[in-house]
Amino acid sequence: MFRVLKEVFIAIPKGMFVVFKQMFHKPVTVDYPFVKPPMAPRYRGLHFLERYDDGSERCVCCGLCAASCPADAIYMEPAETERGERYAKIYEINELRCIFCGFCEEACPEEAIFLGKEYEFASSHRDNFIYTKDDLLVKWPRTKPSEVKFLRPMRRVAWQQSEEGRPQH
Amino acid sequence: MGDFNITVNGKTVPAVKGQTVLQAALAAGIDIPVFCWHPQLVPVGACRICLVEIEKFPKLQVACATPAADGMVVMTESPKVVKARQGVLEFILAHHPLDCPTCDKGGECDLQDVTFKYGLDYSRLQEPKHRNIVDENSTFDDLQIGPEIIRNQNRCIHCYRCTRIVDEACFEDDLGAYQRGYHTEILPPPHREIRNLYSGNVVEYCPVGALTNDDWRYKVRVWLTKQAKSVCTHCPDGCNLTHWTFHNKIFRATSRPNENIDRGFICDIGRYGYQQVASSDRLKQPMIKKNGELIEATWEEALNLIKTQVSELKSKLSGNAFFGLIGETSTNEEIYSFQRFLRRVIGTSHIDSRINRKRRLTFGEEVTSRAIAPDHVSYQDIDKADTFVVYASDLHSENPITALRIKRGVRYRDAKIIIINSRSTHLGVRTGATNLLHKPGTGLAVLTGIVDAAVSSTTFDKSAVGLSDQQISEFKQAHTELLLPKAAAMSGVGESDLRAVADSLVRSSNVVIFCGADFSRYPYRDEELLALDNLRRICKSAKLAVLPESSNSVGAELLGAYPNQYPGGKGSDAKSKFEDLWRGPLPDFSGKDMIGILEAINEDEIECGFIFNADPVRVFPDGNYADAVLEKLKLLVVVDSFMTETARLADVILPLSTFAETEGTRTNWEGRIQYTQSAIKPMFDSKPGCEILELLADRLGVSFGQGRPSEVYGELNKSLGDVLPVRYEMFKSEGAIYDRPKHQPKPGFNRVAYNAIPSDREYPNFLTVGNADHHRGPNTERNPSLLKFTGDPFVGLSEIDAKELMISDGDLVKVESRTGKVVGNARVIAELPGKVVFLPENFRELRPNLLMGLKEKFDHVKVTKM
Repeated sequence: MFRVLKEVFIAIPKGMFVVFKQMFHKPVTVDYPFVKPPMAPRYRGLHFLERYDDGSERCVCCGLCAASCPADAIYMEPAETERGERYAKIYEINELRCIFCGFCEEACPEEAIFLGKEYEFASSHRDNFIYTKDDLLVKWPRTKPSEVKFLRPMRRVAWQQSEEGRPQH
Repeated sequence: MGDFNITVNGKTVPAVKGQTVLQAALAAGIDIPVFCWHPQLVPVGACRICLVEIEKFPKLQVACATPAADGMVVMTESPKVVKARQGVLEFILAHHPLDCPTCDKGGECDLQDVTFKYGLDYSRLQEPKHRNIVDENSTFDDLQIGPEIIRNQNRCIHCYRCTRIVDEACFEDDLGAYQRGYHTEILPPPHREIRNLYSGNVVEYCPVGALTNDDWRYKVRVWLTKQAKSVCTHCPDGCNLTHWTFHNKIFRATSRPNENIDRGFICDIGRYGYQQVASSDRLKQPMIKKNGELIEATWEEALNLIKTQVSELKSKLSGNAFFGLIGETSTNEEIYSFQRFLRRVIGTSHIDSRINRKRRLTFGEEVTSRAIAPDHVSYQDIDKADTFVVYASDLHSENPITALRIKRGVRYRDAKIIIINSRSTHLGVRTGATNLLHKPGTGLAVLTGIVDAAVSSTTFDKSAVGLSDQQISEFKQAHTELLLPKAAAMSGVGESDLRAVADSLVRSSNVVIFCGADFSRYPYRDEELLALDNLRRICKSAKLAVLPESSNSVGAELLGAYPNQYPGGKGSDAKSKFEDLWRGPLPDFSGKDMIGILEAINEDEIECGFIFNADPVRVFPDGNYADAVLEKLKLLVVVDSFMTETARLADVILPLSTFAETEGTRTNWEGRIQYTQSAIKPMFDSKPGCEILELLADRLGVSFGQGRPSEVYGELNKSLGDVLPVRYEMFKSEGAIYDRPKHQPKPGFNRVAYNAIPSDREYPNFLTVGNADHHRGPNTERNPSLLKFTGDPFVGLSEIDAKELMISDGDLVKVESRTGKVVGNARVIAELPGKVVFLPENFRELRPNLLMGLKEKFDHVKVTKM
């Protein structure tokens, strides 16, 4: 009996006080989708495949992203260009399987795959979650500046620079 | 145990005299990294990665080239060694491009592994890396140096394994190292390509990705693949292969070293021969002939049709109206199931597997009565022999790995090699052999001439080989037409050459005589076997090996795919035993062979047939006849993997899985039974052979309940326990040789009858059939990689004939015989003797069997320019 009285006369006013206090605070939520919350600098969203400065693909289809992927979400098939370069004829990521761990980005030796800030890719059909190379490659010419600061120049460029005598590593 | 002990990393390790430290350590399971070393090559110590510390040696030593000595104390992982290896790696990596992501070797690269274990994760090199520029436009400096081989000089670490493999293990000369220092380039000789029959090995054994394969280029990463143990089916050598598969597709085949057979080196035919599995003319599902056209059907429809038609025919006719032919590349289990199906379910003994021979091949009465049979030669005998005789065989293209063993003996043991053939072969050219190039059809004269030269020699020691004066004089009386001056004149071989060969044969202590495909096709086969046996009698110790034609010819003989033989070579007295085993009556013991079957069909005695994995229309030496005769059948059931010429005549076709999809065992020419894993699941709607035969038997009312090879082998082992005393699982390691009966030949020389070949004025040239470069048998043209080596089908002409007929390379020529004609592009072959026309048997467009007449002993042809 005493317990019930205590709840009615002490606990409820205490709770209501918190509610009233919040009415004078700024809300934490935002008016999504009209307002978008800021993302953490290391946020891992939808993948994208980067390009070199001349527009050619960075990905050489080495398979290390697929090998490192704990969810087995990546499938690829390599092929050869006319210049004898290896590239990905097929590159698919199943975004439903993907756990956005970022291991693919970590494993990539060519600095080709990155996890971007994009998170709005809902769909009503499962098939739409298999992202092909067309979906993943950044648009060329670029519509916005690259999100990435690259460390390595293009191999062809590297060869040329090394012939001019500049060290390359 | 070894001769003495050495200590490696504190562990006592036995070593044999002559072994190096590396070999002793590897044998004891202690790993030492290597790049340039290979067990079959002479150590050179070029890469220095195998440096080890040995007590009392002032400096580090290379383990691969330091002989082990009693009491040596070796440390393979001491701090000093690790530091030295890091230094070596730093030098190797100084100019090694880090393009592992694009390199096909990535994942199985020795340099990657060793760098991962010992290497530093940074480079101290400040200068640009050396680059070997092939083409300014290319990114990776790849250079195609052969039809299947791509070189990237930047990745090369100069271990010289490739050039040494070509020279020391394959005995060829089309790869070498040019320039010096870091400018060294691996290249074929100027204006040439690397295109020898063993060229794929240099890719397999390159420790880095400097040499890569066009076939495997940028296909699939190696860590994604599964491996299946397989045995090559292209020749009876029986090399062990590994098939690398991904998503139910084979991507490459590599060797699986078997010390008893291939020792890790395989030929390109085996390496690229897997491609036919995905060939476009694979049969995808059963087909039924309706109104003269083959229409795709389901298994149910096809089996029901066979059931109704066979029961209808069986009710009218006896079992003797049926026949069965099986190809000799089938597995042992398939062959056994097939003959059991025909004998027990259909009730016929007309079974044969020898479909490409013109003459009946039951060895003649004389051969049998004198108990002459091939000896049980094995690869180990080749290693012991000091003289080889290769008779009527292009061993290099027919049995490439056997040829490699022989060449090894010639190079490292100073063995002699004598080649008796009517056309010059690659083996003779590359080994500096004694070539006895005779006129076509005069091999008997050469063999008898040699024997005569030996027994007439004043230095011949009769007692050493157990011959008496009487036997020798009888021999001379019996062969007055084939004695020395006449033999030399008849065959066109110099008399002094015959004497020299006889001399070297008499002096050799261990001779191995090989005869191959040309011998099997030869009209005087029985007489030749007698003559070869005579040759064996003049040697102190000689063994005769008749090399079979297909990968499982020995198995076909062993398991009763012959008309007058039950499994295990059992005769008619075993009939009741097999009746008990198969729980039912069996037909008469003796049946018709291939030629008899065709004759019987022609005379309407046989009306229905089963052809399993064989293409008689393509290979029977009278193609037109086989075609016309098989067309007369009321019901022809063809079980095959490909749309063959025979399958086009069929009423019902059942799709068969290929060797890569079928589990089973095969028997190589030694008699070694080896197990093949199925690399992939059956493609399309095909089924493995044993399953098809079980389905057929079940439909026709006799179920054996043995649809799987292991079950068939279980019964086989039960019925032939005296011949095949091995369990199925035991083959899975390295195979076993089955027990073959021993023969006791009668003493003295054999009498050889010889009729000279009449010359033919109208058709003056002799037709010889063989294999084009990188081809063997009728199936290899389904492999695109192999076609790259040969090019288009051709008609081989000798220089003399070409000049006479004013024909040059590439001209369209017509080859005619009494029975048919073919048209093809001429190719002038310098090694061919005059009056000989060479046709490869590997191409569908140019089938030599269209020119062969069943009635004619020799195939005479005429060539005209079109």
